[in-house]
Amino acid sequence: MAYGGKSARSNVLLGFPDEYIVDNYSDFRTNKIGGKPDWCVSSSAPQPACQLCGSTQPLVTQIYAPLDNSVYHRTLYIFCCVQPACWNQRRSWVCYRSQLKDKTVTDQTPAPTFSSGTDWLEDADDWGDDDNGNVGEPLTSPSSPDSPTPQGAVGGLPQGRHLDNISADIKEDLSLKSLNLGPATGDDPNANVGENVNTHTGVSAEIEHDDEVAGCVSVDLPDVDTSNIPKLFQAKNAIIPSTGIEFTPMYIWVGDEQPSPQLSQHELNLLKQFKKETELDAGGGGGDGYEKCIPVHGDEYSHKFISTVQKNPGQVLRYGRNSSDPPLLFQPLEFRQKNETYESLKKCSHCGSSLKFELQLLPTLVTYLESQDIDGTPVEFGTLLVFSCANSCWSDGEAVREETIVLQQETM
Amino acid sequence: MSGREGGGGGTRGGFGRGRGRGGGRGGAKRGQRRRVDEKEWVPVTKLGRLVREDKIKSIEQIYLFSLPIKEHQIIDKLLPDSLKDDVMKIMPVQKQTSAGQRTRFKAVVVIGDSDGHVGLGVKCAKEVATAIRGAIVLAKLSIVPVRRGYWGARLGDPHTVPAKVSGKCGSVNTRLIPAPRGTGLIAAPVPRKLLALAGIEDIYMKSTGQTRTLANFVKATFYAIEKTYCFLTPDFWPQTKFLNAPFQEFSDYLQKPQEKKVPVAAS
Repeated sequence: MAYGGKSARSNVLLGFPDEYIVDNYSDFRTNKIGGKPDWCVSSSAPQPACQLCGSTQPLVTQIYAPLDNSVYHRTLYIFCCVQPACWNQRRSWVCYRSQLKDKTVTDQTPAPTFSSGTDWLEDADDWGDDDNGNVGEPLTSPSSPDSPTPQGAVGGLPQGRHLDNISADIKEDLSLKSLNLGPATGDDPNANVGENVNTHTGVSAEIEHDDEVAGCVSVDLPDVDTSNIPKLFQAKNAIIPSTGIEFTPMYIWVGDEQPSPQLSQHELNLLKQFKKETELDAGGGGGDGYEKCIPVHGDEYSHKFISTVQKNPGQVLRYGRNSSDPPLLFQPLEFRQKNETYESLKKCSHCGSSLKFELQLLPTLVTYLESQDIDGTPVEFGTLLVFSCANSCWSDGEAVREETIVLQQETM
Repeated sequence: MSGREGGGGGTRGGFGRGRGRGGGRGGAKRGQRRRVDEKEWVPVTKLGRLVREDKIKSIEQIYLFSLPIKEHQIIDKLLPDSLKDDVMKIMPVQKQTSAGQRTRFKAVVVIGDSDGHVGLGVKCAKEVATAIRGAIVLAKLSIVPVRRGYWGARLGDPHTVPAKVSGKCGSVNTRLIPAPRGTGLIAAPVPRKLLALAGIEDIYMKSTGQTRTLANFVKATFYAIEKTYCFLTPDFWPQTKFLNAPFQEFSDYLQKPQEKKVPVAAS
């Protein structure tokens, strides 16, 4: 729909949270939030640990983002640390990119699919499953031979049967444990109750005793005094285990960025009433001029950020590799972090080519990150920008490559 | 896909090329809307999250700590039904360019609940619709509390400003003077709407300057009303115990030395 007749300037793609993943049905081509990472080649998958505190980092999101003119499957994995002491710090986040050669696809020219975009979409409806894809169709079974190959599919990914070679390898490595959905009790080290609570790792213990540094990391009282705002802004000191945390997995629904909606009924009424009472005269308004209107709080960056996000409410992720729009920021990008300069972030660390803005995570994602092991908000951040290598450099034997990220906090 | 769904077709597919390819596994039926309703407010700021979870129950708590309100839905949630907004004026303003004149529309909107909260928003945009919508949002973001007091005896509810206050914007000076009960709003028609929405029942007002510039006139009145809570009256003479502002805590947290590493947990 968006491709029909569009010029080279593409839209920003937005990610919205979708249904919960119920039967662990995902592979490296699924866009999802939370859960366990589905590596392209899972044998050499790294176990990411926080650079600041060493605890294991759960997966925040996994994005399948193959590039045009590329034979590779390409997936990005973003991990973060959930310890309250590590919130809002760039070094507690990491982004990995993993690529896998698509064996069935040879190098291709950019397929001129714009004209046949609708064909592809209509044909692709014949997937043979009438109910939710959640039921049935395991990874290895070929899709129905009757369903036609989508015409003009970009990249021409063939039907399921061709994937058997790849998927067979993956399936045995995929060890998707069933989610432990019940409340953790008793002996489970992740339990919030029971005798195992205080036998935790040194990480939590350090936080508890270190009073002058962690001045704002106070003990989390079970009944939060709701009228005490300072307490609400303090990072809580829940006892968070350093391993085994996982965010509740859900799919991501991809959509285009829509232009702003029309006037609501209320605004139309206001306009009508105003017009009735006065006449819109064509003359100047008695000396009034154009004035730049900034909001009372004075933060123009935040205002622009929030207004853009609210035009398409519910978005949690913006994918902007194919778009010429700059990313939404809370502060200007040249803002020097305390101990890092932006210079170090300007080139790909592997191949030295320039970086390109790929995607950003929005603070609205914080509302959707839930974890059974943690009460309340697991992690907080402003926005996380991922800059990836413009050439998407890769060598075939590797497991993952790290991408550059920039973390911005919201300004108070 | 176009026309088949309401707000624009999307898929579960991968980003980048081939949207819809490969990601259909585990996906919903084509054309099904996503789980989260569009109309629902998903907060962006920390304050917004606290408000949405009902941890902050009244707007006065936010005023107490002077926290910046960056999302207008916060105001919608804390003052749900009582707010009334009003478009004061929409005027075209022009700018001379080499290609002729470029006209934009400036909308001035006042909003208030007639009980101590007012806001004023001015927005300039190329279309009237955008200007009105932007001005309503800016008005909600600028809501301030209004202090009312008595002219004479302290009988009944406060009905007028507690002291003489003045405001200035551009060349317009406005001065609000307390009036006895039953006087009504003795003011020019333009600021009268603003004063009514603020919940002030009786006032004398004196204005000077080029009051025909409506935006400046209204803004000057708004600044005067804002100052009612800045005025030190004898009620405030006893010492106030100040709580630590959350920003203070926040900045302590921000200033936590980044070099200090929490020791690695024994693995």
